[in-house]
Amino acid sequence: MSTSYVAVGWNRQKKIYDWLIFGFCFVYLSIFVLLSLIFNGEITFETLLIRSSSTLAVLLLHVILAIGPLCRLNKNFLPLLYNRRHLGVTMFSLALLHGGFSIFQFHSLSNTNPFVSLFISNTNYDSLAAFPFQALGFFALVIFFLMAITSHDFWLHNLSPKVWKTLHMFVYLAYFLVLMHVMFGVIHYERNPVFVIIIFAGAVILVALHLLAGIKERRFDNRKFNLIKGGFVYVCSVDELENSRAKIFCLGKERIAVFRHESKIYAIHNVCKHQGGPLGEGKIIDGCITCPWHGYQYLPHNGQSPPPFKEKVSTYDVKVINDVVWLNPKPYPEGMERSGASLTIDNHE
Amino acid sequence: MDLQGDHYSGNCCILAIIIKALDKCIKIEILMIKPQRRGHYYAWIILALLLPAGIVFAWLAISNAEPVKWIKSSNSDLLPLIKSSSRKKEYCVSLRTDKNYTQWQLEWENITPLTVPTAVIYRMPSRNALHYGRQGNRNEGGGPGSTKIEDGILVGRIEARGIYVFPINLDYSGNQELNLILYDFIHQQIVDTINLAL
Repeated sequence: MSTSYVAVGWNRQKKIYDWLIFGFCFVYLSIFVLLSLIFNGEITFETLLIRSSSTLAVLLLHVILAIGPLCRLNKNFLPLLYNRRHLGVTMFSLALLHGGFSIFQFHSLSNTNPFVSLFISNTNYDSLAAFPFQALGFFALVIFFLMAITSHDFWLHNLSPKVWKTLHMFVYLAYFLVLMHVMFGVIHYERNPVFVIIIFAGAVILVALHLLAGIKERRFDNRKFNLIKGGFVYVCSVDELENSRAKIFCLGKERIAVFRHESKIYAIHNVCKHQGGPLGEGKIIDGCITCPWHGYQYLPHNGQSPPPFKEKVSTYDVKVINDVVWLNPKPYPEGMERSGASLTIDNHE
Repeated sequence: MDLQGDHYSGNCCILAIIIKALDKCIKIEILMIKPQRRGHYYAWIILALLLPAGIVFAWLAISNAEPVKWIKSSNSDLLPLIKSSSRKKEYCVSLRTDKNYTQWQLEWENITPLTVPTAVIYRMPSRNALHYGRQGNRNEGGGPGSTKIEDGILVGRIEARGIYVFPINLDYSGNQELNLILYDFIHQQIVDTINLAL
C-alpha cells in the first residue's frame, strides 16, 4: 500500500513474528543436530546440513500450505496469514541451502557442469526404482525461487495480481514435486516406514484442510437469494450486522461485503485489491474498512483507499426497509461515492 | 494497477512482453475471484488423487537391493596379515586377515578425495575374473560375476576422505577372488570394480 518502495514494511507484529520463526528454526535445527549426533555419531557435517535444512523446509512448507485453509475455517488463524510471506521466504532459504549444498556435494567434484551433472548423472527416467529424484527437487526449487523473488508487493503491482496469483498457484505443483523428491530420494535409501507415514499424514492433513475449506466456500458461493424487488435482493436483517463489521453475500458471480458503520449500512466489493483478501472479514478501524490479510484500507462510502493511496473497489447500492437490508448486486465503478443506507431514515420508507 | 507493457523499456522490454502474453493467456478476471476459488479447490482434488498414488507407487517401487545404510567402519585393531591388495591412483584396498585365516577385514584408504561422495562398497558373487567398465550399468549381468547391485552384499559406505575398515565374512579355500564394486547410489552407477585374489 506504500507509495514508495520499501524492502520490508516492518512493524512490531512482523518483528515479533520473524523472531518467532527464527527461534523455531533455531530450536528445530539444534534438536535435529543433537539427535543426529546421538543416534548416528558418524554423520558428517555435509550430511547433517543437507538433512536438517531439508526436513525443516518440508515442515515449513506444510505449515505455509495449511495457513490458507485454516484461516477460511477459523478466523483466529488470520495473524498467521498476515505474515505468511516471511515464512515462505524462510522456507525457500532453507530449501536453497539444501539444494545448493546438495549440488555442491554430489555434483561439483566431477569435470561436468554441476547443473548438467544433476540431469545426466542418473538417466533412469523410465524407472521408478531408480528415478533421478534430484531433478524433481530442482524444479520445485525453481518454482520456490520465482515465488520468493516475486513475493514483494513491488512484483504484485507490476506483474498484475492475476499473473502474480497464477504464478503463486504453482506452489501446488512444487509441493507435489517436493513430496515425490522425498519419496524417490531419502525414502528409497532409508526405507523407514515411519518417514512414509509422516509424509503421508502431512499430505492427508493438507488435502483434507483444503477440501474442507473449499467445500465451505462453494456452499457459501452457491447460496440462493430469491427475494428480489426492483433490482434489490433481500440479504439479511439489520440485527444480523454487528457494528463496524460486515456480512458477506455472494450474489451472482462475486461476493459483496455489507458493512454496518455508525448509523449507516454500506456495501463494497469483497475483494481487496492487494492480494484478493476478504474485506468483509475485516473490520472498520479509524473509519476505514481494513483487510484482515495485510491491512489495506478502504473508506466505506466510496471504496477508495484514504489518500495518498490509490486502491479502489466497487461500491453498491443498499437500502434498509423495516429493519431488512436490501442490496443491489449491480456494481458502481470503482471508487464511486454512495451515500449508504441510513438506519433511521430508510427504516420508515 | 496492472502492468502496462509499454511502461517498460530497455532490458525490461522482454519481461514486459512476457507479462503481456501471460496477461492475455489468463482469462480469469481479477474482479471475479470465484473462479480462482474454484481453481484452488480443483487443484486440491487433483492433488488428493495424485499424492497418495505417487506415495504408494514410490513405496512399491523400492528395489529389492540391500538398503544403503550407514555401516560403520570397525574400530577394532587391524588384522596383521595383508592377504591381497589393490592400489589405484585414488585409493588403496587391502584384504587383511589373521594367521589362521579365520577373521577378515577390508581396509579402504582414500589416497585422494573421492569424486563421488555417496560411494558404497558391494561384494559381488564371485567368479574368476571381472572386467567391468567404469560406467557399468546396474542392470547388466546376473548370477556369478553379476554387476546387478541386487545380487551384491553391502560391505559399507565410505566418504570422500579417510581410511575405512570393514569386517567381512569369507570362507577361505584358496584360488578365489573377492569381487568388489564401488557404487554411487545417488547417480545409480558403478564407479569402479576391484578384484582381490585370495
